[in-house]
Amino acid sequence: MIHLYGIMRSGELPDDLPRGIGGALAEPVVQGGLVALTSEHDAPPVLDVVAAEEHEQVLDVAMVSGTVLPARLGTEFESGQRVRSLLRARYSEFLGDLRRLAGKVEIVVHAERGAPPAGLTSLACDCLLRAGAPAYLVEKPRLDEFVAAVAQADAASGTRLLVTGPWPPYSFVTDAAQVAR
Amino acid sequence: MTTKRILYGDVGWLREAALPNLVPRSSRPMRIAADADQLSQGLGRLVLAILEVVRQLLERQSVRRMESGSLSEEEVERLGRALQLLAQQLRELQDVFAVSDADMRPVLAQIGDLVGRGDAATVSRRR
Repeated sequence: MIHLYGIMRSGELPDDLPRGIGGALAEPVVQGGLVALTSEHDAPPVLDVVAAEEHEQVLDVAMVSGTVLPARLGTEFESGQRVRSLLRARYSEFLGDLRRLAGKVEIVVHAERGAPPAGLTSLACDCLLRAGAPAYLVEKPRLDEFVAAVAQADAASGTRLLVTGPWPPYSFVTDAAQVAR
Repeated sequence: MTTKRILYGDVGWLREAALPNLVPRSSRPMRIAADADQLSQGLGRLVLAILEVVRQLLERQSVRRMESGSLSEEEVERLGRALQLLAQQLRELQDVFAVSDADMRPVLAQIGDLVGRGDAATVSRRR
């Protein structure tokens, strides 16, 4: 049983991969110019709060060394061979996503009431508006500017805002790249 | 949620808001369909996931206390039994609501954002 954390360019693979779910060593599965970050398990891992955190930890490290397409928790494969097949079959889709999302991170803004200020969209490359907590795709160098804009809006609006991130771009990988089970 | 993920603001008010659905995580979004049966199952899933998180926190805290050596042998045994009973009762509730482990995973993962991970190594897995 192979657990998938995410997909990145093989040239951007971190030097040291951290331990992932259940303390299993995260291992690269390379196919062409792409690499899948995976870990091997004898049985399907228990996907609880701790596992979610461990999944995130591997992606955290990957995000520092490059652009990573995050897989959802619970994306599992029978074998490394299956993972390679996926990378082969969707090679150009994954590369396209990696190009589009390079240098960008996902930021989520929660508003206590109503919606976050509309002006934030102008600071983001893309935005997924949804009830309560829209996600913004923000270029890393503009992160401080974005947070400062939230702080300013927060002071002006009187409704409380909360910003979380930077996340791997969960909300911005295309459907095709969203690796299904 | 680990505090390193908070770039701005205070998480305090979130505790009163609907806890899941707040943070994008590795989990798939939970959907509650407007069908009566599915709705009650969706709510059951949410309630059970919250109970499970509380159970995990209790367990974590208990293990810490057991390991600290501040409890007598009898107290350790009582605590162990109580934890087992709690896990068992949650299991039964899961059956009542017809909520499987797989149903709870995405909700659990989302709630996880709002719970500090702490010393995960001491968390014993129920399943």
